[in-house]
Amino acid sequence: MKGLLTFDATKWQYTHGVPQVERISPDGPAHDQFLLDRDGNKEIQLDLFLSYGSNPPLYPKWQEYFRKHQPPMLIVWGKNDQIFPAAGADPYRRDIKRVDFHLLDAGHFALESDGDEIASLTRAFLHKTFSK
Amino acid sequence: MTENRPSSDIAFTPAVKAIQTAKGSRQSYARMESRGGWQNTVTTELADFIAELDMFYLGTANSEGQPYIQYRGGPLIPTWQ
Repeated sequence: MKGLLTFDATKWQYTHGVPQVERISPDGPAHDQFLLDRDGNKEIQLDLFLSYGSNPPLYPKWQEYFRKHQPPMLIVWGKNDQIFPAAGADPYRRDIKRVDFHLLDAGHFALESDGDEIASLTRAFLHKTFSK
Repeated sequence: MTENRPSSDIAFTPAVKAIQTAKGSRQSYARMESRGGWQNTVTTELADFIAELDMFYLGTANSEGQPYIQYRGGPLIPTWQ
């Protein structure tokens, strides 16, 4: 897993699945990498990766919450994201009747390449949800 | 670099803080400040890291010595599609 913490891996996370790489400002991954490289940080990151394993057993509880309470939900997901693949977006639609659902032609850090569009979708969602 | 000046006083002019208040972000900066602020010096590690990068940053400062440093160019990130 330590390979995930190299500068090349960080750049990959920013650019993989991004059709127009010129939309990704190179200082983003550089800033991340400087912070990732801090003393002792690798071990913290590896602990976090390991801790993801505690999530799936909790899914049924969260899904039950969604089914019962039907919270307003906006999903904007990079369809080319290989870290959280788009297939992970669909189950929300099974549990929640009305999901404002958008798959973008983007990767993991969709906000970097499609920030304006995501801001518009968020505004529209908030407007629709709270102006009733 | 700067004695014990709070880091947000180095980063933000009073005019900027007023805008933060108007837009609602002042409180979260104040919270960061109350936990000790953030790094406001260029350490050896930071200088070395920036020197290795294939991009350049432009730093300017106003008459109060408040800096503004931004990425100003370099090659695109190579892609591994």
